[in-house]
Amino acid sequence: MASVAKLVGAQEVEFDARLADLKKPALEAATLPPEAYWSPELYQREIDAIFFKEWICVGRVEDVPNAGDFVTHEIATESLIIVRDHEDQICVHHNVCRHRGCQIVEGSGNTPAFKCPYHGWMYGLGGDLRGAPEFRHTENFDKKDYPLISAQVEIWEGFIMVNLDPEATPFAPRVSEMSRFGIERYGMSNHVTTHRWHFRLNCNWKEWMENSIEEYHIPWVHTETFQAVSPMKGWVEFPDITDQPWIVMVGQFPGFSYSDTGDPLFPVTPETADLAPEHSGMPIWVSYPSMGVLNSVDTTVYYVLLPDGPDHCHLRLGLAVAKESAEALARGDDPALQASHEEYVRNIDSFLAEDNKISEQQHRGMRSRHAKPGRFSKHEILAWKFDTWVAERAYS
Amino acid sequence: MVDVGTYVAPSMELIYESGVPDFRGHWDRMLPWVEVTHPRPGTGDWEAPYLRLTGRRTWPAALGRAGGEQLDPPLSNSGHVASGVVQDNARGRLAAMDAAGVERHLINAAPSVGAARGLASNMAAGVFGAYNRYAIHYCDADPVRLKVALQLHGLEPQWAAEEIRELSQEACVAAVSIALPVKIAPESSAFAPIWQALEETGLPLLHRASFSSPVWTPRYLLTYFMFAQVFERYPGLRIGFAESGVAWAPGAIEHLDRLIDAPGRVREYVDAGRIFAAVGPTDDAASVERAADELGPDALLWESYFPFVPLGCAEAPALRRAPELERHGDRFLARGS
Repeated sequence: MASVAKLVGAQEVEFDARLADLKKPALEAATLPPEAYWSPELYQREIDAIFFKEWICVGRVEDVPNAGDFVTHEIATESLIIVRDHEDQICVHHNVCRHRGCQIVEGSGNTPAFKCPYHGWMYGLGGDLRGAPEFRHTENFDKKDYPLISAQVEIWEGFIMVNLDPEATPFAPRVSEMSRFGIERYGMSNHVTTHRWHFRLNCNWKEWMENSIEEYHIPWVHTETFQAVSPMKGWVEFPDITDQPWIVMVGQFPGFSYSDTGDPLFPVTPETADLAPEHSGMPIWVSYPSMGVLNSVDTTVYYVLLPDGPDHCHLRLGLAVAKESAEALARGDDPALQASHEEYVRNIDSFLAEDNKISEQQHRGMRSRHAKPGRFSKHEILAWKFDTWVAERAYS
Repeated sequence: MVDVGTYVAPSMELIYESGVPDFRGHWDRMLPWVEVTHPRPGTGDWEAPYLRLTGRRTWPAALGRAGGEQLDPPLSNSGHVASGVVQDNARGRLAAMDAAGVERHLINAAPSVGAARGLASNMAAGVFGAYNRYAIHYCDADPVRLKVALQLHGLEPQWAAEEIRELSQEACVAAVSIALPVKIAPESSAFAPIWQALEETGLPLLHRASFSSPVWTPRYLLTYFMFAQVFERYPGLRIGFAESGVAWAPGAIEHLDRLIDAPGRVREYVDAGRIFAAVGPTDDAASVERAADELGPDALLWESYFPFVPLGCAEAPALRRAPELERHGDRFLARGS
């Protein structure tokens, strides 16, 4: 911990001691020390121990619907190519040519093969090296030895989950207990993204994440939006889930949607009708470290936070509706449905703006020399659990 | 046994890899004519999907659906062709040849390479040039037993002539196929550089029906060679007809032999060992006998279409005659003979 002690020396308190306060029971614990939100050293620990080790969502299967469709994604320093191959499998490759390390592609598109722009090495969509011009005279060179480096990938409920740690255990068993809360009843695997958001925020990724899993802020931050339908007392947290790499809180608003009235405007997923009362409404699932899913009876909203240095993060969100509705929206022949969709997007825009603004404002405060660890209320138990998980993974 | 009708079908990735830098630099221009094909196990094909050239514009739909046609099923003597033989597994081909008792393969480009004729001629030349270099590399596994028929474009005669001169230096290069276009009249001197290069190098022309415009039937081309005095002007030029069977030959030879105004005597060219025809799997025994009578038995070659032999042809009577054709193949492939 020498580097950490050096880092926080200016604040004259050992980081370890501060962490000890976090590890107390929630209502006795202190929040994460402020330096956890801006220290480059601690950020690097999070990257190494969390983002390079845990399962990260990099999108939805509909992001790459056809063979050859690809998108690129960055997890810290690692650029990834997410591609649907010619055998209809989604693959994730590190975006690094095996010749001399050049990034191979940028952005997104459709391609029959990947060709490095530097010296023309060509790879199949599955990552196998298919063409290495002028290498026939290179000794002991076999193209089979130089495929793109692939990452572990799993599809879960339509989400593309990636793990950069080749030793990582599978993702699905880690979240199988979510079934207890009926997550599969929301029909996410049949949902298709119809609108996407991308923000580069001036805050630490944990600040936005904590904000998303505590309802304490709602009456003050969401005065214009959620407060009308989402009073603080309507949320049920499940703090007894202590041994899982995920958390859930459920807004007790049966039939909630993102419409102006709160009533669903898209077809309701029938399987949600017989959910247990405490599980019914608007669950927010967070799979550590940075993926969140907000279910409602007619839509799925999901988000992924990816750090971009200690002071910035990328927030990507999607609004997904049932496939049939998505197809109708794509056809553009149902003005009423189109209007409903625009209404949902507008409302989500509004509460996102509130959350983004407050997270950036919090970060500016955290950068102050006078920022100190605070405390948790009973409405912030999941934020405490999340912080504890981060601390155990990255700082211990 | 020499088999003058065998194929490789390198993927576009292999073609790309073997191309000259200028060709690779224009790779993106190829994409509209590329499709993804699904391999068929046991046919000598690869086991994973790969890119193949088509003669029609396909992109982007074909790339998305991965719906390229599969290769025709093979019928080899062993009943199974090892993975990759048709692309990059030359060792597997040699093993298949051993199993079938075949000494030499003359390797031609499969239709997926010939499809380049649908491109602009300079791009097609780029594909054929890359293919030729790839095929030579493929034959490095055994340049004595594996022979290359260079694939050239008749719309780029100057390039074709240079290609013949340059690549004829390679020991495995044994013949030349020209994609003869429909656009050039038979009496045109445009082809002269090509015939001259063949004359100089001693390489024979292997005229493949699937590689040229359909107007260039064996009978038509032979007539052209006669009346344009190609045989006369290039006395070393030899031609073998492939992918057409041999049933056409007796009538054509007999007809040409009767034309008293012809500038040469076709039978003299046959007797001089300048005209060959390849017996294929679909020829029946009677056709083979008639061709042998008219051309003389020494003018018959054998081609199996390995590894694309159509089902049902394994017992073709002509194949039973194939061992007799062995020495003729050697003679055809011997430069300057």
